[in-house]
Amino acid sequence: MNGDELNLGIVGSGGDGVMVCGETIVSASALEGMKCLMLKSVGPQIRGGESSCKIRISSKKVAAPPDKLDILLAFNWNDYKRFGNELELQPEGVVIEEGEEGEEESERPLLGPQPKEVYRVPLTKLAKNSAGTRLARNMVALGVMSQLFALPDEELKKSITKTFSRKGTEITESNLKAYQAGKEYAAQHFTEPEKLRLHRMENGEKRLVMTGNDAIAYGALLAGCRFFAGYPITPSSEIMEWLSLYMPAYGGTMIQTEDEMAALGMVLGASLAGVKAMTATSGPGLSLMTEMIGLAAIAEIPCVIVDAQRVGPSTGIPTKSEQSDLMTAVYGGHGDAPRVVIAPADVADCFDVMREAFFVSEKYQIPVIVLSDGFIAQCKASIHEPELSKIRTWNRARPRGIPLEDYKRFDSTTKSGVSWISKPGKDHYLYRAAGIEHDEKGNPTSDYEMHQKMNEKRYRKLKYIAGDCNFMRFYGPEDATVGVLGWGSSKGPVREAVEILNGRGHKVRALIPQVLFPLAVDKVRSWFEGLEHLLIVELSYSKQFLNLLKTQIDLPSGTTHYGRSGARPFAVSEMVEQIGNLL
Amino acid sequence: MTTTEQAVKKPVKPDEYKSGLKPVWCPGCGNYGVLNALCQVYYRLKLKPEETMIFSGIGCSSRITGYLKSYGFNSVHGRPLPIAMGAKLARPKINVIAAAGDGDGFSIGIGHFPHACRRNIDVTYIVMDNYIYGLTKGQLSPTSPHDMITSTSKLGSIETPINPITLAIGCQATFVARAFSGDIKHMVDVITKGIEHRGFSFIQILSPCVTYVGKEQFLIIKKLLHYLEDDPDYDPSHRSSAFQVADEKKRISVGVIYQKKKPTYMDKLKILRQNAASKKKERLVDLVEIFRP
Repeated sequence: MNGDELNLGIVGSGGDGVMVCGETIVSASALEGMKCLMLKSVGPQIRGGESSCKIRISSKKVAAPPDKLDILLAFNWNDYKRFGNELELQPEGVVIEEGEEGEEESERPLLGPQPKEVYRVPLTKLAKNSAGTRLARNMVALGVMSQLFALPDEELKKSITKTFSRKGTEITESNLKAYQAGKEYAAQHFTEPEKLRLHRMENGEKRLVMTGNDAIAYGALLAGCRFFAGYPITPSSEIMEWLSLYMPAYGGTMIQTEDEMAALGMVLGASLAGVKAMTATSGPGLSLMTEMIGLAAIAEIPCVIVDAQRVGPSTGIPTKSEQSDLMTAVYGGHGDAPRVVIAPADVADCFDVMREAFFVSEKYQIPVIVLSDGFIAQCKASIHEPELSKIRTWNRARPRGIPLEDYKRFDSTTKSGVSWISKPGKDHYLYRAAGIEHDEKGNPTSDYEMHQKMNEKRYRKLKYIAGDCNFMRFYGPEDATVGVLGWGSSKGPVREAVEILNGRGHKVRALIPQVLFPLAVDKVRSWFEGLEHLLIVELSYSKQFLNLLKTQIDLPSGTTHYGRSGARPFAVSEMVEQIGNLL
Repeated sequence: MTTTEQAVKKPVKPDEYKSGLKPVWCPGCGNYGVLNALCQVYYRLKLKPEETMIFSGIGCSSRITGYLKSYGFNSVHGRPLPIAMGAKLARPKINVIAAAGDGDGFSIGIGHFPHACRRNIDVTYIVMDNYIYGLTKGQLSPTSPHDMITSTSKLGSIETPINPITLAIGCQATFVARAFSGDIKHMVDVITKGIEHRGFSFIQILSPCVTYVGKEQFLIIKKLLHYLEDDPDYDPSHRSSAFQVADEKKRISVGVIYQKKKPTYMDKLKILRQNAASKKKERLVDLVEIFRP
């Protein structure tokens, strides 16, 4: 640890203020212009119970989630037991715990290395003395950390003030006092650990604080979405919660439906009526929506479906992330049902992805699935302000200049497969959409030739989409002979591992395609050129990404695969080790 | 701008609301009556085809979208209600009708029904109830009477049928009616009232299946009909009388069984929007302020 970054873990019970403590650090970091990521983890209790968070702060790039901890703040060691393997210390790590000098030390159920140093602080006593309530223990602890690890003091105080401002001056003041008491206690009793002093930013620009769910919801509004229907599900619910607050102000509708079938059904109705519409869900909801995705595909109705993946199958582990909905996103449902699958790689990226998702969906009249995941969805990050005014809107191609009786809603002869779609209430070109196979005018048919023709029409779009929307991320030197291919939130650990290895004198490059289906095969193929080793990484036990790639492109000889179950994000060290095996 | 040749000709008689596509229904099917009645209703209300959308699911009844001159969507089994509600919320000025059968509406898609009732979105929901699965050749339906022999209840049904009318009233629907496809004139009156009603309107239309139940059904139903409009004492705003009528065993009451004035979903949404708009950031990009620490 050289002070470029700190990895910090906090664990406690409901009422300890674990999350408030963590969020205050994230806000302060953003004010200071530092990069910061926070991951939450909670126990099964609806309210209260044990909770923990992990924070990674850095003056340099932060792309991967925090892994081994430099600092662990334990309000309560009993709560630690549930999160043990998520909250391991690195060998130089330190612990802050409740306790008085001279008091008998309780046993620490730590997994992994023992702490190099333990800072015992009478959190409760200091909280009561300074703020008059034990509830302010988290602020005392924050003060201790601020002093010990050189966290940005002014910014922390500003963040505390902002957090408690809603509760009145008195409460704000007492929390600030508790923070100060912690700071003073640490100054009087401890020597600051030299190796864990955070390097501060000079002239850092202020950053925004948001989660991936925030970015998706706001990104959708910016992309022109004015209709949202959804059913609550972890970890995507915050998207609809956010939109329930902001959608009405901009003339839109956010409605909570009775189930996911109704959610996507309403979206299709709204879209058919001419409004940009979306839904958001997670794996179990995506399973229920597959029927409607098929309907959108055959009836060629634009729509955007966000899936914040969690661990599956079935209920799986709702609060943990995995990359195992990929096959359902691309192929889920019966019949040949084309759709587009785009994956954001981090929180800020969600803005670009939502813009592209609506563009592709509206232009090509096709369902677009945005494959986010629990990590991106829930991760609270300080991000550089994205280019919000960047738009790529598309007005649906509406029929014009032909006699009414000549209008074919599903004209199968167009080059791109896209046919004119008329707008109810505006256009007189009436038509009927259908889930039943239909002819060019939308009338039901059971003719095999027509079915073949319609499949050709609907699938032809994919070829054009692959040329029109194929953004991907490249890292590392072009002449590297070792390459890593990953997707979605694997980007963070992959990117950092590649940078570390290149820093050590190796040559490694990485590719993160974002439009996973249809894949821009030519672009990927040309990236393959010159590779002697290709490593494909993913958080899926059954190798869904590898298998999906195989259906779209020939992989170079010398391709290896590293995949495992989710529920724990890839660590940078894990990626370094896996790629290192090829060097 | 729309030139004359590109504008839908205004229908000057009910039949001009037909699309011209030949129905697949069996000769004598009750659904022909429903189609004819709908054309007369559209004509009476002067609905513009280009401002009207009809949504259906899967089943014999759901083919009706193809036979009417308007925008239509023949969707999937059981789901016309949410799709129709989405369209209405997105474009409130469009006339939105949802059409379904008893399999669609009261079996696979019944989960949507209570929510449509309580939300009170201004959609007219017509369920053509023939108490049998006709399209798939005669299986048991949730409205098939107890003891009925069907291809999946060869020894007679041992299930209690659903009563869609009591269900609708119980779920806070604001317009609940029943009609009989053998009486087109009455059906036209009832559907007209349903479309004119502000809010969700539910109309159960007894529409016999001549092939899998039998054409004698028309006569059986006709003998049991009781027209609520002829009963001067009947008050459709009275919820408990509505439940009583819906529970009758010895006769079949048709007409408006229950109706209540209540703000629609859109009425309330508009208020939410107005209140929210007064506090909003004018430019959407300025909303970014909420993410500043």
